[in-house]
Amino acid sequence: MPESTTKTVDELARLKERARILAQDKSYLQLIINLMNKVSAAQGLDNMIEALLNNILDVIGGTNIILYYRIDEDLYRADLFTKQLKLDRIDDDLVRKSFDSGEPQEVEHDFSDTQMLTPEFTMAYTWVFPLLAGGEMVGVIKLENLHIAMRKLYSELPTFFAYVASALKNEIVGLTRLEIAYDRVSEMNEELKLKIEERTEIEGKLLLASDELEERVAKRTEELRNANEQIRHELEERTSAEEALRKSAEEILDLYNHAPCGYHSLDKDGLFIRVNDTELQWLGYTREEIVDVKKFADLLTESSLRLFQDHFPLFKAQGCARDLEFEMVRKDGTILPVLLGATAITDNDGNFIMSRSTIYDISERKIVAETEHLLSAIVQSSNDAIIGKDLNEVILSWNKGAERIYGYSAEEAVGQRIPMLVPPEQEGELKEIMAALRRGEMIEHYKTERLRKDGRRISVSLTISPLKDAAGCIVGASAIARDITEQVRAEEDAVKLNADLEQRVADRTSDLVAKGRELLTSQQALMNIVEDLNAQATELEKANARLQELERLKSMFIASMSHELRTPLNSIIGFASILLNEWLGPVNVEQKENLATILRSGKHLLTLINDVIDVSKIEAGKIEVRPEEFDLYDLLTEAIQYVVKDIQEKGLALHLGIEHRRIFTDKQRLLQCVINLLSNAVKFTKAGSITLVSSGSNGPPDGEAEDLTRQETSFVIITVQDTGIGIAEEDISRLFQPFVRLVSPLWATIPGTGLGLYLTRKLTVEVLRGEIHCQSTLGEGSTFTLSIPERLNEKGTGN
Amino acid sequence: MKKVLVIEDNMDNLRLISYALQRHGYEVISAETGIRGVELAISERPFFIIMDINLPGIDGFEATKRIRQSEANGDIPIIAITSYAMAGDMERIMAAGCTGYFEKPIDPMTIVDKIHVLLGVK
Repeated sequence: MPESTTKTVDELARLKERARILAQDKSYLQLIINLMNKVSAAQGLDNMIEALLNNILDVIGGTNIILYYRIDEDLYRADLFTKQLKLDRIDDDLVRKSFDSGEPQEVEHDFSDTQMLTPEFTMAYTWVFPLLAGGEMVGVIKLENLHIAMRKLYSELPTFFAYVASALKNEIVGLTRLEIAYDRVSEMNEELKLKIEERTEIEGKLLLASDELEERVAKRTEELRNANEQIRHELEERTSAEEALRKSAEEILDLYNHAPCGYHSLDKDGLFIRVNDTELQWLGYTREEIVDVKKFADLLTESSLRLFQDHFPLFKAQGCARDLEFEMVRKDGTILPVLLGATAITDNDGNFIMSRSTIYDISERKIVAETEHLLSAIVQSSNDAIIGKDLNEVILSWNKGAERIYGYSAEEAVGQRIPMLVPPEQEGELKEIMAALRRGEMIEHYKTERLRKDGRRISVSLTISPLKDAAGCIVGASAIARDITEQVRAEEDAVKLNADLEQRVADRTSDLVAKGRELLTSQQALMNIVEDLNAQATELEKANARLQELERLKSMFIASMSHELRTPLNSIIGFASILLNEWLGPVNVEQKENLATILRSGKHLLTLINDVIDVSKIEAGKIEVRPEEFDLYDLLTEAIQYVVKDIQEKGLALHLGIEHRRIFTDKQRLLQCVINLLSNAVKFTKAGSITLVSSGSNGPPDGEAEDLTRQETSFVIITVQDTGIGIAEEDISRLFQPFVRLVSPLWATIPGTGLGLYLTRKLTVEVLRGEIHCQSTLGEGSTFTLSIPERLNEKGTGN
Repeated sequence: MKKVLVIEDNMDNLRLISYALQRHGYEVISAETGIRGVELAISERPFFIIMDINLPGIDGFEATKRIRQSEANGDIPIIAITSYAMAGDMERIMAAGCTGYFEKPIDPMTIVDKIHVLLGVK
């Protein structure tokens, strides 16, 4: 298989693996999103915690999920078995670490002692994760005994827990102290309103009674005076009228004594000269202990005493005093707060005679005032804006919370109208609110936007209640506004977080789709490659078939060459010989020369054809190796026979150094090689000698030790040496190549096929399994060395 | 005069061999086919036979076998002449019953001397 295909297959496997992981991630993300949706669908803190615990266990696994959370300063714990247990302290080290550091904690532990688990699940993983919302520690969640193999899937959990933290915070904020304070305030407000109404009613009745009494006293006094006059006038004559008068006086006294308020009179020194029973009862004294004994000042607290000392002289001068608050001290030491009004009785000259004072017990009214003060303080201390307004939307009251939320001070806001807080597009909404209020309806937790003094918009939750007067008529409204900008932002963040996750799922899905397409493209490319390869294989097969056909044709060509070319040459050479040797009669000199040329050319052509056929056979691997056993001496002697005639004709000396040696090799091919070498030697030597030497050797003559089998083989060395023209050093390397006719003026006249040495080397190496080397000096002569294995094995390789 | 039978379908070769044989004093009888050659070998009883292997009809191998199977002529030397020898030809020639063989081209100057050497004549 080609490298590119292997690469594509690897790539394919990699893509498949990637696709599988993406699919897994996607489904896991979808689980997390489902989890978030379930948690966010739960209403209220309890439901949310239950949903959280159950669903986390379903999706993530483990043996228990424990949630620790804070409401105000109190710490709670909830798990699958126990709901909302209040804790004094955290008893879990990991959880405490996470609370203190705000970092997740994780621990692996051995799990083998648990019976419920399968054998491979012996290691578990516990993870504690802090729930942080906007940097605030809301709680900590502990996931116990998760499957260790799932660990890599928990990478999305931090995101989910951030969401859980936000959701939890929202629920917990709904239960804050402010809410409780607000409820208390509302309750107390209602209660106090009732009390105030009651007191006001009583007070009104009291004042009414008091005025009536005054009037009646004045009237009675007048009547008495008149009666006295009348009595004085009619004493003598109307004695019976005395009795009636006495009764009337008793009635008045009774009224005086038992009035629902205290009466007393002081002389110019402030000494009690008269006091009614009601006041005596309030103070716990008897009349005897007071009248002509105690001064009013004796019965006052220190601060009231100063007030009295300031006012009494003034009173005596002006003749009246109104609404003075004094703290009187009862006989038992307790304090009686009173409201005092007094008129001065003077004689006709205007001299002070005595006071006539009325006191009201205002201890209950004091409590009301204190309560009002407390209420006011609560309202002021609330973080929520608490605003009073009339039906014309004019602001009547403005607490600190309102100052903080809206940025206007109380001075700036009171007297202004509500629409300044409302964004232009919300004005319609304001009208609806006012209409609802006029109908007496209450508006609760209405979420809208408002404008701050600095122009910023804030999200608020409004609760608006109609305010009624004592008669039940709606006179205005109280509005409580809570700044929920952070909460809204947290919700938006949660929504955005959710959207982000959805987007990531979408992204990964499209990634997956893209990868899928890539996969298809790769597959297509792979199929194309395979098709190409198939096509190439078919081409190769065809080419192979053509080559085999060509090879067959070539063999046929060689066989027919061998026959068809030799047959006519046989006749040319044969008949030329017969004529030349004058078997058929004498020929003249010129005819002899011509016949000799025909013979020589015929022989040359025959050699050429034989060489070409041999080379073709060797190159086609068709040459047969026919080893046989023979004496090397006989072979060399036979070879010499072919050249001895030429040697004698040229007048060269022949030196022989040949020995008897039984060898086993292809006799005909060895003969062909030796004849070739000898022919060349004779051909290129004009004078001197030809030397033929044979010897044995244990290894190749050049000592190359690359082949161990060859080193152990015995070799035969045959050397052909001449004293001819020699070969230039640079030409030796080209010597054994086909059709090389070395350029030399001396060679020009020497015939040759150009295949002789090429064929000799081929035969030596490929048939005889030996080597051939040449050493030569230009102009001095050449030495060709043939070394072949002494015994060629039957398969045609050395030994 | 001793007779030599030459079984050869190529007229040029036949003439060439005939020159050489006649020069050494032989009477040449010839056949152009294997069948004819076998008949002449049996009827004429030549001193030796020169047999071309590549013949039309029955080839030299077959002709040699038939001559060897005729009891009367079982010992006549048969010299095979082959074109450029192919693998196994040598063995087949000797197996068929030939006394020896020569490859073409035939040198008329030396062929009869070589045959004499082979047959141990003179």
